[in-house]
Amino acid sequence: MTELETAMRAALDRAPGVAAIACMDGRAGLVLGVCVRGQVPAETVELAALSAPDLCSAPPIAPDDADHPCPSALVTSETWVHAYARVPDRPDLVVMGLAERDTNVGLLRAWLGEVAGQLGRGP
Amino acid sequence: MIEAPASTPSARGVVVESVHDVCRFVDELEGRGAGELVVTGDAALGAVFVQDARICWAAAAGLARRLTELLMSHAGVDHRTMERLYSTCKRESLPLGEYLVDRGIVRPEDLRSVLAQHTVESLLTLVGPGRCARWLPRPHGGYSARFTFGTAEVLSLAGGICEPELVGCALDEMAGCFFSDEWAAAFVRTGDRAAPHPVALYGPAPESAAVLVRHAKWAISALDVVAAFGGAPEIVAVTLPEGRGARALVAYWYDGLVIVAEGDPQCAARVLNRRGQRKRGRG
Repeated sequence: MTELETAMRAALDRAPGVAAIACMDGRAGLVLGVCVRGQVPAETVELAALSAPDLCSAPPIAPDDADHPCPSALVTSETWVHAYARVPDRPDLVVMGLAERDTNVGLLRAWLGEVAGQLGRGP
Repeated sequence: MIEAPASTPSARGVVVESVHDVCRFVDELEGRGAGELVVTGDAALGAVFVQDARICWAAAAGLARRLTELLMSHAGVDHRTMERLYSTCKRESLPLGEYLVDRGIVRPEDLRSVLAQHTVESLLTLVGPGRCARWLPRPHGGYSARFTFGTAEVLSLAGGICEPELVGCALDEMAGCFFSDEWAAAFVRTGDRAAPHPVALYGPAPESAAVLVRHAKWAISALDVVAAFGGAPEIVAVTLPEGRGARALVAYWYDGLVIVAEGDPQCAARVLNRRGQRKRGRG
């Protein structure tokens, strides 16, 4: 298990209401790690993580600019809440937390922000 | 869209097949100067006056009396009274609308609404397949900004006139979710158009139609991405980078419309709460 995966597993263990966590390198287009709890399919989590660069962005201000990277994003659907946060000082890295729809969204985002901060500081 | 280079430096051809074409042309002027887009077919069809990247008025052949009708309905005056007021203004070279406001016959917000309605109805008459216009730079018209219209507002109003049944529902939803200092827009994607077009705008209009269009593209793209991995999305919300003014951007489907808004960090929570209340109300 890599250091990143160890850190992600530890973060998931601290948050009983969270179903999965993943980390994506947006520049390389790679999912660096996925940790799931229970029966959550890892492929589904991976697919959502791969969308992180598209979702953590805002439309450009000037017409010819690229989309602007955003610090965090939130997606809700009938079943799930996906929260995304960019790792401070390493904005290519985005962590994603997945929880059931009835979770406390504010707590999920706060927890994910802490995890992103920890990953930014390194081991 | 700007066509081939103009034959003279002061006049150039502009394709005006849609209101969006007109708005895009105005946005591309980047606020420089004033001028008139003169639309001609077999005969003169009308003109659009632009000043400081805002549309001041549009006039189309056959719609001259429409402005008077709209003013009469807001002012609550009969035809004879309006004729008298019109004659006075003509004799004294006064702008009719502002004269009515100064006399307390029409409220300023009603005049603005009438002028916007008339401008957009005229624009919709002027544009069409194969239509072109000439851009003729003019001296500044001295129009007050409060009675002129940004391209975002014009594009939304035009969409609303074409899809009137969607406007009330969209405005109710946006007024229920967002504060008056946040802006939101409702878009519809119809079969004959690849890109979604706005049908209603709430709050302070963004600076240009181009901004509206970019936000619509972002929203559709984000919602499509989520649909690919998460099923039917309820909402996509992002925290905006510092320096963008607003703090958050949200997009969601509502009754066949895509709603996009820029607002404070709690705006996503308000949308979700309202959605939850509706579900509980139905259940």
